[in-house]
Amino acid sequence: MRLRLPLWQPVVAAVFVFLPAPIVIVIAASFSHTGYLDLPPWPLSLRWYIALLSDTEWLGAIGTSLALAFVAASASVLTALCAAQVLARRRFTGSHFIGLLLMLPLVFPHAALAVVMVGLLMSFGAGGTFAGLLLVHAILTLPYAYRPLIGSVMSLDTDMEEAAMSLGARPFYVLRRVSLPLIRPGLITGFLFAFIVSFDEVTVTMFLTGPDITTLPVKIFHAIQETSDPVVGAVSSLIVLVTILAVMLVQRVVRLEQFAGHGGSDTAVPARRSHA
Amino acid sequence: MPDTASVPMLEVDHVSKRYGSVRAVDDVSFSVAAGEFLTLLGPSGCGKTTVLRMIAGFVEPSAGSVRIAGRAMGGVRPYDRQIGIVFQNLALFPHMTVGQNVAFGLEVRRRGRDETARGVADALALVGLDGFASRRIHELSGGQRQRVALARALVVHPSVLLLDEPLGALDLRLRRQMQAELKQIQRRLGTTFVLVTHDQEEALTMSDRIAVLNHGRIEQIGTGAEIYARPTSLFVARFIGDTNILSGRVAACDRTRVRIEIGGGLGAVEAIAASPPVPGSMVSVSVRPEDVLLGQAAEQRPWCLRGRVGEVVYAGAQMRCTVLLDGAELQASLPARLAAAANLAPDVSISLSWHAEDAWLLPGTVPSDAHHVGEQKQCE
Repeated sequence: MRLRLPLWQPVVAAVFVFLPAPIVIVIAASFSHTGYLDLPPWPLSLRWYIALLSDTEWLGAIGTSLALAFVAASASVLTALCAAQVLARRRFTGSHFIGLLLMLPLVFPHAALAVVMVGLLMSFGAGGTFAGLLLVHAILTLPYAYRPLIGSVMSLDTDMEEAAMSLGARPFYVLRRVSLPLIRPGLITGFLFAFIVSFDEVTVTMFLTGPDITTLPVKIFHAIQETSDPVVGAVSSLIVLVTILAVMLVQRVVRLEQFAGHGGSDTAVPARRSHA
Repeated sequence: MPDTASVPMLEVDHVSKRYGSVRAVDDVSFSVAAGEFLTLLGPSGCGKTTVLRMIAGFVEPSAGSVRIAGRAMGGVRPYDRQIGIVFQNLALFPHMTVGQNVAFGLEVRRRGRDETARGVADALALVGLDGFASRRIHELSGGQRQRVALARALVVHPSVLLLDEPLGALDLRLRRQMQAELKQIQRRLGTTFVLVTHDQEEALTMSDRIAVLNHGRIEQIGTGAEIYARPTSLFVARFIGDTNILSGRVAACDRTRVRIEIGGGLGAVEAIAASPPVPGSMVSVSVRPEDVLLGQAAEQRPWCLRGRVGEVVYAGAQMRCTVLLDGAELQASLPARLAAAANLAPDVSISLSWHAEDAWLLPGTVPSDAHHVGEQKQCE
């Protein structure tokens, strides 16, 4: 039913204005010429982008964040894939619990997690190292990799794997030629979401960075607190750009797969099997 | 090497499958000769698919063994069994073309490029899909997908082809056509086929032999004609084709020719038994609608029952008619021209009978509420 309250339209319009407003402002301000975030930015200038690209500290942070996001996303996709393969097909005591455990980083208070992880990593001498950050990011991104993957694996028709096996294919061959191509949308979506989450993560990372290593969002946080370096505007714009690109990629992959009829939704015959 | 002429291609030997306390398959044994077409027929939940999956190696039997071409399959993984499967949902690979689907089994076996291409072309030609190799699966019709699944399974020359209700999703006309083609392909290749279905007509038209399953057990195994004409149990009689079942007491018997007093005083009928029954025991008689004689034809017989015509339905070549005895109801079906002569109309009183040879005695009785005490009299 449609709400006919006349007030709704301005409210909805306001939401659509205010929701992306900060992003627009940040991007606009990043092109300013002055030494502070200024609106409207006039005259337009690439000054702060040039400053960013010639600052090794900023570039180092960008490199760390990209590498960390890539490796952490890979690790959590691999872990999530193994978990999904088992949890989608087998029901055993505790399988439901394991499924919940994988989603736990989503709801567990990040500050508390940070305190625990700092203590843990320090005791192994891994505080302020890439390996330490990687472990934490892999944990934090796991739910984002797991959710799309479990969906893909569950919708994968096991008859296809059995058909492949009856044709002589061993399990690894079946995985490579049949299962993985069919769950590709879940793999890509899971990877990109994990990548974005890792790339944007601040709360827990802040506890773990040190003088030797820092990530981009944490560096921005410190830059904003200590100085009012206008380079921050340029950096933020880049982050927004990377995130938007990743989300567009997700949409494109998912839509393409639907068009191509992958995932079995287009089969004219029922996908059920009677266990007669 | 065992002599292939004497060793059955497939042997299922006292195989059982238990899930907890449930016996999905209970001591099933049968063997299939090379080139034979065997159908496992039964209602859903009778265990027929589980038997198929045990032959394929996806399910390990709780007891008993499966042998393919004389080789015991215990512990042999599905990919080492040299079998082919066509699933009910076909399970074609949607991310591959028709040609890639069919080539899959050959690529797994690392056949060369030329041999693979030739194999794919031959298999597609066999199922009448020449020139379809570069099509995508989602561009095909249901019948074409069916053929691709068949070609994919046959391209590796399996020793046994297992078919799990492969035609279930097709409409009736296409299903009949595919049944004929499937049978033709099977004859031409001489491949051993094992089909699972719940469709008795499909089983009768395609199979060399049929195994009827119920509650995880084989009720009867034999040719379609044997099972249709000489069922060994009430279940088989009712599951294969339409039949009328009347229960009663053995009144007299002359070797295998038996006279049965039908419950509720409806009268006595005659039937043939496999072996002489114990006089006085409770039995059932199965008679097919097409074997029921009506009107004058019935009155010329030494015995007949009297009833009342219920519904008369015109079904093309045949006229189907219900005859109401008191409480019991019999189906009769006769050629339309004979029906016209018999002057069948609802509520008309009518005689019915049959040749003893057309009625078959079965052990056991149907629930007695099908018959009531009545006043129908046996006619002279």
